[in-house]
Amino acid sequence: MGVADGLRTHANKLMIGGAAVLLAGSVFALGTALTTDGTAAAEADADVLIGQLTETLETAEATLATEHAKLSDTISGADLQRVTEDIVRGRSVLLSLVEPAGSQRSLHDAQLLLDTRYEALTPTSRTLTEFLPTWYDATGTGQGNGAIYELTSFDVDVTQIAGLDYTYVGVARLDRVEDGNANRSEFVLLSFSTNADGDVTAIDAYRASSTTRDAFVAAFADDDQSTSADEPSN
Amino acid sequence: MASTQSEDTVPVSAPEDRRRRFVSAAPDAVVDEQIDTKDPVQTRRKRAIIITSAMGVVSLLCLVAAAGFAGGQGETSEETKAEIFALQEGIQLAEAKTEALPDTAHAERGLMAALASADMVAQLQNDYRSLTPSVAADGGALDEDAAMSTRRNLIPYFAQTEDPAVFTPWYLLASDANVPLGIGIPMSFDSGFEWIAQVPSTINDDGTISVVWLAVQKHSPEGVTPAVLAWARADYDIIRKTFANVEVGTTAMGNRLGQEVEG
Repeated sequence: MGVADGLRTHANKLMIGGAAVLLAGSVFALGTALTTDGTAAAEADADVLIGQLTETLETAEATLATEHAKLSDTISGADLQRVTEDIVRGRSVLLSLVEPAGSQRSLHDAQLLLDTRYEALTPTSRTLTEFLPTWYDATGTGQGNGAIYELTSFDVDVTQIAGLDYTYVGVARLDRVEDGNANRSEFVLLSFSTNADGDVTAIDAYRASSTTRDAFVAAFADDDQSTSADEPSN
Repeated sequence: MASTQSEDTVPVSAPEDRRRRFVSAAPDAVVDEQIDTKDPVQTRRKRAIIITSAMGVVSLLCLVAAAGFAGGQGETSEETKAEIFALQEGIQLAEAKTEALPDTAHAERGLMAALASADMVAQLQNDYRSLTPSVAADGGALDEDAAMSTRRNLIPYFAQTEDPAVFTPWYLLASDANVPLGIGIPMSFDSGFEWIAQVPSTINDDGTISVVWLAVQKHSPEGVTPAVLAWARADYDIIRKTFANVEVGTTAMGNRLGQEVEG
């Protein structure tokens, strides 16, 4: 009797209170549904799709590489795997040519260092007697301004296959690290050769003229904005 | 009524009747009274029921709406969309290239054609060297009439989308201005440099052949490799049989020793 009486007495409060709790919960559920908009679920689905597409892409590219290698082997006996490795060697040569300036090493020390390191370079090599001084001047290292340049692109073509000796010509773009400013870019033409043992047997580096540098920077900037073919530059 | 009843006797039934009437009328009266006296309670109860019902209905609507909206606005970020698109494009490109890879016979024919074309272009650019004396004398101006036949011969080797600058001299050496014209034909001009085509025996995975031309000094000190004064690169399309994406540059030394050519 006591409980029943108690319930009866507070029945109104109980009803309204209970309904209010239910209403609050419903409004909260609605608010949550409206604001979180299921992004997490959609992203999870996207991740699965990306995983599948990535796998498909890898397969497609592997197929292309295999077919391409077969063709190359048939028509020229060119070992594409070796070409890939040689390009890595060329990149390393290029970096060791431009790095001393950035690390404030004196020109003379740099020349000695490179002469020792690469058999292909001798004290009379143009790369040491002309390219290095030009590079030091252009990058302002002489004035104690040893700027660091990073290699942002290295476009290499095979130019000759003579027996087991491969020769390449590549155009490298080096951007100054400090300001990341396009006005502080340099282009270097590098010709190099390798033998079957993976040794670099010839190294010829040339700094591109400032005129060419400016034209290339402008052309690449244009390419970024449109998809037109590269403009030739003089 | 018994007339024998005296007038003194008050009819006892009257109050009883009244009472009875009261009593008999009691249920209605009591109910009325109950409504009257307990009215506020009843009203509050009714009010509470109405409020509760209203809240219940609204709650139900909210829950239905919540269920309706949940998961219906799932959106992926822009980066995710871009990533998916890039992957799809990559797949299409790889498949298209594989499909378009030439067979051995076509590839070999293409290489031979590329070699022949590259050599022709080198020869034509070399023909321009004999114009250096006149260019130097005219302060950098190219004699259009003299250049006409070389230009015309160059045009078919390049894709139509190429910039017309591709058909002008790629590089001229200043010291060539002093070279005697000899008997006047380009081939006997003793220039200080020459264009040499480099055609590899490989083909790219998109069916093109990358060709490089180097403008190399003809004379250099003993034991020193001749310097590269300028270079040009292009992709040879074996189907269209033209060069595209031509890129020409001069080295720092080449620029120093070069003869400027206007437009």
